[in-house]
Amino acid sequence: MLHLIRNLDATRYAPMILIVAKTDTTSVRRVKAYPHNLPFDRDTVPTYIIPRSREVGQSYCSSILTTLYSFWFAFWLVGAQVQPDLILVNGPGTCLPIALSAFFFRIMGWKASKTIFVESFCRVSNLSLTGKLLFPVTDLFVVCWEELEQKFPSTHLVTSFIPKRS
Amino acid sequence: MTTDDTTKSVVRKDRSVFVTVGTTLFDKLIEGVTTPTAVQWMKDQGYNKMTIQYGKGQKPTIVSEELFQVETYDFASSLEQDMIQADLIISHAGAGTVMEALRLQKRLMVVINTDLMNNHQTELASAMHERKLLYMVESPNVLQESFGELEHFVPLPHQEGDEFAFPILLDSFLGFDQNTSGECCGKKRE
Repeated sequence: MLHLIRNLDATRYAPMILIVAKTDTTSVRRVKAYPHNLPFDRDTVPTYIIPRSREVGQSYCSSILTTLYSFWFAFWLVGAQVQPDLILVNGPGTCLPIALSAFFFRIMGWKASKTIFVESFCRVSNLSLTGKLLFPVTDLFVVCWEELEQKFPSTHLVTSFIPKRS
Repeated sequence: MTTDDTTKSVVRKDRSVFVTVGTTLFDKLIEGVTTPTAVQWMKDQGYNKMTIQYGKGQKPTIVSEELFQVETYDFASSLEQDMIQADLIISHAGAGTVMEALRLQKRLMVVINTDLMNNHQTELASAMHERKLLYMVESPNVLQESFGELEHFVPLPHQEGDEFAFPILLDSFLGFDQNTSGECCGKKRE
């Protein structure tokens, strides 16, 4: 994600807010240690920690509660606290509540956030589960591989990681 | 750990193999690279050192010989140094390791862990194999036969992606900067 956004125009995409999963201990450190410029001040950028819907190995019963909690948190964040114009999400299930609450507030006419989903770099020929679920509610669906772009023509290819085949 | 052979390595440059399994375990890979066939192949290819990162698996029992030094460890905070020093990297199909090895322009052999269910990392490895960026071995069971083929594998240099591809796509999607429509990714939706 940092590699994708590092050259964004800081005057256009501001203010920027980061959301990381509660159990994700490396992302915040990675932001601080990123060796290139970023389009925000990494020491002062507001960072929200979202609870995860379900941990690996957690019982299904208690995961209903934690899922409700993470959705509640996402609704508060998207609908009240931040009210973003643009939401950029990638990969894991953590982004699901965020993207779905943005969709909810849009159809309610409360706040029309645009949602952009970036499919995992590991996905070459099939969409991830999160990708499949969010496909209908994103405004721009970004993939990293030509194979995936050809299979799903409404997606957009970014050559940020792998150059186009000549 | 390293022995006191600093003088030796000054005189003769090491040619080394680095084997890595990432954060979990992949004992079949470790077994495969420590067979007499594998070690003989490495020696024939002029390698005189092998470093093995074996993760949560069994510690390999292979020991150093005079002309073939072996080091093993389970985890390290960073594998970068070992990757930089390696002339050949034999790895599991983890995306992080694969990208790092390619970024360092290393000769890379990726072995698929066929014991994993729904292993979508196979997708990544085979797409890169097809682009001749790495050499993929479909299963640790065919590793012994694959060494011979690896000799003939000529990797294409890995090219970094376009770091402006995403900003261009996003700007164009949001209606910023209509003049700079990128060649790689204009707006496609009519």
